[in-house]
Amino acid sequence: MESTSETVPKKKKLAKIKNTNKFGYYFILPFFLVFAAFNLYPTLYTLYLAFVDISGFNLEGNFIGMQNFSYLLTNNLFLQASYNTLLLWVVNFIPQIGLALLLAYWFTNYQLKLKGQGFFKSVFYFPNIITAASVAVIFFTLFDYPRGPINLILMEVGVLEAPFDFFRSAFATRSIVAFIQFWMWYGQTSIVLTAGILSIDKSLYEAAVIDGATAWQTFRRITLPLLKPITLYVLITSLVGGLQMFDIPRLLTDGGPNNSVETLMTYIFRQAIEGGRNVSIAAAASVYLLILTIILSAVIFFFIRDKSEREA
Amino acid sequence: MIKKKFGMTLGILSTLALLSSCGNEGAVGTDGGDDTLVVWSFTDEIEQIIEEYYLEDYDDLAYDIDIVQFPTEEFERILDPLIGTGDEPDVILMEQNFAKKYVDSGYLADLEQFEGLREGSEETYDYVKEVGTHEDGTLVANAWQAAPGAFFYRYSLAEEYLGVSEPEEVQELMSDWDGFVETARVIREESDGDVYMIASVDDLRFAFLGGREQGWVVDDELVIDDLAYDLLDTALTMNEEGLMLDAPASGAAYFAGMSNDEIFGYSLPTWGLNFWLEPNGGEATAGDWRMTQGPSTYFRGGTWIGIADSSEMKEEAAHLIEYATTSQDFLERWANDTGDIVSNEEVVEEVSGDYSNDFLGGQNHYAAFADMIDDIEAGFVTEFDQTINDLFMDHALTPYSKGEVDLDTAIQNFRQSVANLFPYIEVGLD
Amino acid sequence: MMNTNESKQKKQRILIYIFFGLLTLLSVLPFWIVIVNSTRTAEQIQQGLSLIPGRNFFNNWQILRDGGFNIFQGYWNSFFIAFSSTALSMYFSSLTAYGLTVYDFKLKRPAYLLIMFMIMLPPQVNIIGFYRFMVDLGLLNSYIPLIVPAAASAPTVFFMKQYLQTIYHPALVDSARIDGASELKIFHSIILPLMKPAIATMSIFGFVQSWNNFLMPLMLINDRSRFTLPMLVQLLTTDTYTTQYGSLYLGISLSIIPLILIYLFLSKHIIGGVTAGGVKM
Repeated sequence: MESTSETVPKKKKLAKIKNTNKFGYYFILPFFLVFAAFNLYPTLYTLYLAFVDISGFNLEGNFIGMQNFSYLLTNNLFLQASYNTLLLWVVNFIPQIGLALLLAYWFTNYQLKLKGQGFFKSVFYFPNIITAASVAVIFFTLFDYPRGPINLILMEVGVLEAPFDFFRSAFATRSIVAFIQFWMWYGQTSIVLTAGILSIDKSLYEAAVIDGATAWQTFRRITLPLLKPITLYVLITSLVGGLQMFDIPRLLTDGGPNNSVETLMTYIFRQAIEGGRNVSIAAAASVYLLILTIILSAVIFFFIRDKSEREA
Repeated sequence: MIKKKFGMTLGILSTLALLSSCGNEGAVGTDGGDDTLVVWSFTDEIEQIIEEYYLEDYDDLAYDIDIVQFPTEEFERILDPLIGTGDEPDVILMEQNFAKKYVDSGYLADLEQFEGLREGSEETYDYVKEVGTHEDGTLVANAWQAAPGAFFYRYSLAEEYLGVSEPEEVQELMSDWDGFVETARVIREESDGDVYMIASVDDLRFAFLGGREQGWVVDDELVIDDLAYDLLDTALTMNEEGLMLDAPASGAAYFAGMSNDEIFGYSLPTWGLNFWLEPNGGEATAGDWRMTQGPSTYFRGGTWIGIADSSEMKEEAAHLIEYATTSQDFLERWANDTGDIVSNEEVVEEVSGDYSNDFLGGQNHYAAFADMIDDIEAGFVTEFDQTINDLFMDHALTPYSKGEVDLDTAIQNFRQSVANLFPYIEVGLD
Repeated sequence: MMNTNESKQKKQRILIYIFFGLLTLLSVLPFWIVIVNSTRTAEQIQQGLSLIPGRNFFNNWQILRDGGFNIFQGYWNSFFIAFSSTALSMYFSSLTAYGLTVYDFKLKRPAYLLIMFMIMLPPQVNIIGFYRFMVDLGLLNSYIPLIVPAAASAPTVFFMKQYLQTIYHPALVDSARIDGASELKIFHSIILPLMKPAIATMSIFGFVQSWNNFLMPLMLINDRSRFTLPMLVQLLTTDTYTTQYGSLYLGISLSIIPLILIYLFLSKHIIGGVTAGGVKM
């Protein structure tokens, strides 16, 4: 074979290689077929459902224009769910990014030279890999009333005199949900931020050291400003993830007490499955969520595109 | 050539698809083939009825019966997406809480088109048929059971704290809700707070709500009956004065009260005796229980059976339903074997003649139950019950009875929660 | 001067280690309590906290089994779905990434831009349409909707392409092409092996993500014998186990132990993957 190929004129070789370009289509075809069937079509279908009035046992509906959308804007549970979703995200994200920045600062501090970084990173990231459903049930049992482990501890150390029913308190339930999110994600965020810091041009730091800057000063004046893009990335990915929050509130209290942890996804799920099975209302709520996510995705998209095109 | 290989690659997709559908065998199927009657249930009683009675009497059926059982709380979620698609199972079992939803859906077959069922159901109690009747008047579901509710109490505790013990005497004390609460106070006082009248709000809830004349929704309007308000007040009072344990219904503490001396009594229907009281009471309290009407006439639970209109085995399905719900021979055996109150008036009268229950200290509860059935009204049963009952619990009864919210807030939250899941219902919010 | 600075730093370092120690406890303790409690009786659990295992494991196991918690079925179902979808995702993502890297065609850029755009779009946003579509197709209770969509995983394609760009050089495939090997064969015999490191990293994430998926199976799967692990975990919150604390904890433990084991062996790769890609699971 090899001997024959050497006899092929160079020009023909090139032509042959150029010809192969159409294979690009074959290679990406399966992806786009699956995408069309399981992603694009369901999205269009969702859009269609949002403009009709399917509920209950109806399989077909009538076109009702924007009614589902305007209904949602005046529906207190949908508004409450939107508010809860954002609130739970904000309350978990602020401490999360704060702690992650602090950890990243320590991990990359050349003066501290902390040992066992690999170990600590692994440990901090650990809760993230555990099934969210399991995590929810774990916290459900830990905060059990009246004799769950947390109640037992708090009574032992004298914080509580009588057991406290955490899941009948809106404040406590929200705090627990936000804490779980924080706890599952701060490790991941700190690792991403650490990687971000390490990718910053070393010469900047060297110059700073020569100028006699302290570690904290270099962090504030050099690292933080240069970390802005990656922080934005973390913020938006976290927000997109936060908008989909479902497993934890669903399994912890199913949105209760008094809808205090009802999120957009638990609302959508509830509308589609429970009660009047208002599929079209659920679809309209999904469309709102979709629009919100697309806007956020667009930001990320331009961020990644610029970055990958710089690299390419 | 290359295209062929591509086909092969894509073949991986379909192979995997095939692989995953292979696992489908033995999975939930509504289409059991031409000669299989598919029965979906949430209770294992139907399995007992079919296997131990029906198939004994009819061992030469030309088709198989496939019984698929789901947990009650998952049943609707599994069945709902199939209704109207033609993929429904042939025979559908329905619990009181969601029976009306399917009965009124229009996707169940008329049972009276089958002569045997039409004639047999004449002896079925009216309230049972009322639940199984479509809004247009056709009977589409029937039941083998009647489930009147009563109050079961501890004979020895009544003797000790109330000074009376026989059902008639106890009934006199609690013939209305004021008397019920007053009795609870006496028990609390006499026992120095050791004994609670009841274990949970469920002991009030069904008795109150089961006495309503109107359901939650009438003509697409939410109706909050006075009895619902009474229920809220009674539950709050009993909690505030420590008259009930307020254990989560069907939880550990709830059942534990059946064997220790902490709980005076339980509001339970017929099946509550066989399924809950006897197994959980055990030897500790066997023979020490008695049954009385309590402050209200109500029924709780029950299992209705219907045929999907899309079924191609309606005759076969009707044959089974006729047997299970109207065969006097079967119902009499079933009543004697299980102690269940059956839905057939003649059989109940027949059985109740000389019945005596050891767990109830020899009381003839069958006769007592039989007397109650005539007073039962089923007008309050609606297609919304499963959901709205839960919403009432979560948004009104539980928070209000625990003193977390005031009455206006509780009612407002409840109305709002109904509106959220049923946008077309007028809930009466401003 | 230098001395005080150093001792100050030493102090700071000790404080940081203490803080790290606390965070470590925070990460590990909840799981440890759960695992320990799975070996204790319900009474012991209600009496007080312990960090030392008890002796009631077997009894808890018995109760758990009797309640219908079929963990091995759950393991198998979850494994089957996670494995199949990961395999699909790896293969087709590599294929797509290769197609987008080495060939030049008109729609290449739009295709790539579309994929990049989809990176952030979570699958849940069209779940209502997806669900109805699957009902229409009669695919309720089938694993197909849980497996096949993995063949179009935008983040994986993006990661694979990034990787491929760093290792690919036309010279790699030229000789094979001149030898007359088909394009697909070139991909299988030359490119796929080269992509092993990227595939390994992304496989872990793909597998774990599918293993942990809750919403999709919750909507699509009704039959208990086909429940995935997270759905079984959900059963633990229902009435059956409300008083059987020991077996409740055992059920949770069994659901998390496979992941803990995976993590013990693969945490380096996982942390590496997070560092490299900022992968969002």
